[in-house]
Amino acid sequence: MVNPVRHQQRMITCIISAGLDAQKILRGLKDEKQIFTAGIFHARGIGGSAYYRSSMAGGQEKNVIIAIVPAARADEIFSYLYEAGELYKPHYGMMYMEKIDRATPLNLPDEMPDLDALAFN
Amino acid sequence: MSREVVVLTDVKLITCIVQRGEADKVVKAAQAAGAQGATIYFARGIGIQDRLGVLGITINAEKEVVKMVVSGDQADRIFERIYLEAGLNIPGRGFMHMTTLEKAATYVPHEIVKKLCSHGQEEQPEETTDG
Repeated sequence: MVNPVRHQQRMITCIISAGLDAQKILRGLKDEKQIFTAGIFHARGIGGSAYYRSSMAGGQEKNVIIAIVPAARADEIFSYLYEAGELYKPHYGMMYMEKIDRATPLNLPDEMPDLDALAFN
Repeated sequence: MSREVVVLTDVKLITCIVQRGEADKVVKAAQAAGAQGATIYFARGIGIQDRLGVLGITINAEKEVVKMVVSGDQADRIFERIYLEAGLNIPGRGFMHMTTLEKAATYVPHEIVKKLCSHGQEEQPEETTDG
């Protein structure tokens, strides 16, 4: 039996401003880059811009995107998320990439429901 | 259009899991030791309550996860400072770990990039003479 565990993978974490549409970036990853192993969660950021802008509110709201990608495409996806998250602008967030030792493959079923329709209806 | 990404290397990620309400203390300790900032989110912890028996009721299952990207040369100092300030030697108070990042990227002002580039060029001849 072929071992389904993948070894050559990278995890990219992208912390972006809550003002940006993280769902749209995730859809871009799916449609343009065929990366399905990604997700979003909310967080708050402290330091840098948050320190000056909203210290009274206890931090600035952020969206965090996590994507597991093949090592061969890691730099490409890294650049894509850098652009999509507008991280070239000051106080828009940051991103980083790390090696992961093992990951299971994610195979989507052949007939997929329209995920966008499910999410917005 | 492809933009040039300024990549930071020799960076570490410190992840600290503490009881809810303790994250600000952790961030303050980290900033005092040189960290620039942190990202915090909520989580739920399982495990330590069962182990501590009656004392387990004093442990809050709601946790805060603090993630900080710090430079390699400051990482150990920040790690130790957080450990002491957050009292992570006490059972049930929390857990932290540090991992090496392959690279990181954020907005870096042009002046700093220029300064780093010129610094690198100045250092290069020294390296070749040594080698």
